Amino acid sequence: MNQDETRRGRQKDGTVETGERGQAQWLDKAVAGIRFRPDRAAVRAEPAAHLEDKQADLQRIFPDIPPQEAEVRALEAMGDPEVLGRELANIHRPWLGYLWMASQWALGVALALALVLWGGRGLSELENRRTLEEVNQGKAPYGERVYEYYLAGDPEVPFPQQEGENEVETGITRTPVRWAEETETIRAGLYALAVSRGALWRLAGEGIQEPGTQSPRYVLECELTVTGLPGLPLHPEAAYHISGFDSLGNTYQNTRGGHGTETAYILAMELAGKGLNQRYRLSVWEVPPQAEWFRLEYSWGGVDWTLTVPLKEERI
Amino acid sequence: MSGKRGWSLPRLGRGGKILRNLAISLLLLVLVWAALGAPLPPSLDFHRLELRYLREPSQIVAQVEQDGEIYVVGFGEQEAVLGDLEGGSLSFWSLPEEGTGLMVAGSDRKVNVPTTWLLSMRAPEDAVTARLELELSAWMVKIGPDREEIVLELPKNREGEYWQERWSYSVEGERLLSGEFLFRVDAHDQTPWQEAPGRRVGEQMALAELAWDYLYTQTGSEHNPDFLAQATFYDEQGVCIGEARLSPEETLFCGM
Repeated sequence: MNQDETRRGRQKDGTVETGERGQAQWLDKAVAGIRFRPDRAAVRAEPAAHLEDKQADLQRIFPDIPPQEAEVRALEAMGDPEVLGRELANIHRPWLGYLWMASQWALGVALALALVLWGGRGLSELENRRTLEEVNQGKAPYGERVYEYYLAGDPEVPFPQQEGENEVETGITRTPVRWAEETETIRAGLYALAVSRGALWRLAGEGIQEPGTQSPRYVLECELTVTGLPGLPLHPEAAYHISGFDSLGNTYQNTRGGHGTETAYILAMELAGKGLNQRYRLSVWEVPPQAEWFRLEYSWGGVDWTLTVPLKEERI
Repeated sequence: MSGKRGWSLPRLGRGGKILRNLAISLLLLVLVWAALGAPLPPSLDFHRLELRYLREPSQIVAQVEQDGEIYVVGFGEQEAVLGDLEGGSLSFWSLPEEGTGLMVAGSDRKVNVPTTWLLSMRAPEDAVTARLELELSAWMVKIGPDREEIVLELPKNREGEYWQERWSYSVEGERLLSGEFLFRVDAHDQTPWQEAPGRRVGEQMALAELAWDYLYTQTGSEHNPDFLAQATFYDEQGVCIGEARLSPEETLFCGM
């Protein structure tokens, strides 16, 4: 091959063009069939590197070979760019490329939305917590301490006092007489329910009397834990359908969130929960101290369950 | 070379990267959906609310819109369940043991409603058309420093100028796919409550209270507002084949 021939490069007439233009044309032809444009540059880099290697090899093996000739031979050794182009087009399917780009966009948009929404929520939650901590001066709210007192049933722990208040002022003596044993966990609908703790309290003093009642009064305070699915907490009004009876045959109707008087009743109230666990305080009034167990009953809207709470004479 | 090789993620091909990106996007979108309050179409939202009330899903029979808010009604075994999707609560009406009943399918959170809906419960199967006649009355008094705020009150609780108003409505029922009939009751006075003196419209207040449970559960013979709704059902030949009534004396509301 003479010098002129090599300079012209291989064209449609069988000649070979050399120099950067010739290489570029060869590479352009090789990747022209790849329809996903962003892939072309990346794919083009590979045969370009091959070409360079081949040319370098030739120059290493034949040190006297002119660069142009090495280039022509390298291009010839690479074969027909159109044949290679067809193979590359088959491998690099455009829909996969577009899908990849779409998945990147989807990820970006979803990440941005999640950051904006959850970031805002997180900041607002932090602010609320900080405000609550300031209001309660780092202590649990008074109401929470009272619930904890009744549910824990620890006779050694004094009743939580508010500032400036003392036991004499309230005039009520509180004594736990039986303790609720942790129950089995039952499933109802989407939820798992169990009574985790509690105590039957004897409350004495004038302050505890209501019309139709006399001191002492007895109240069973127990904690019902409800575990559900994320975003599907049990509706607090569902607990209004919990009624019950004790081992002595006394029945207790639910007051649906309000305090009842005179007759035995059950009061359900939602407490602050944690994570997927919801907590309900069940207050069952006028449970006799002789009751050895208390059975929670639920039968409404096609869902039925019962949960028997053993009441032990010794603290568990 | 140090010889130590740290742990690294496997290199993924393009297909693997697509799957990874889509999986992470899906997870993030679930979080976004949860942050937006996990919205669902009304029927699914209603069933979700039922599940949260620890109830078996009921059979949806109607869906209505009142003031831009969606209410869904489903029938259970013994009660009709009214889902207030915006308020996130359910209320319950007793299904008639026999014959046909009527219930109010509207909000029990609103003071004024320009429109309320009555729904048949177990309408006759052969009914093709239905008509509702509603007679409504209410005692009212104006209170507040400017005597502009209307309250519904029987004339025995306090001094003031009480007056009673009566309204009549005659409404053609819309037959739903479920076979029940929905009656749209529009107040004659459609003044937007925001523009009304004291932000109250007497007639719209009376219509709103039709959905309030206290009206059906209070004891005594005097009700305010008082009303009688009567629906008549006709077959293809126009022959009357059934009737249903709703009034405060017929305590169909279950409360909770």
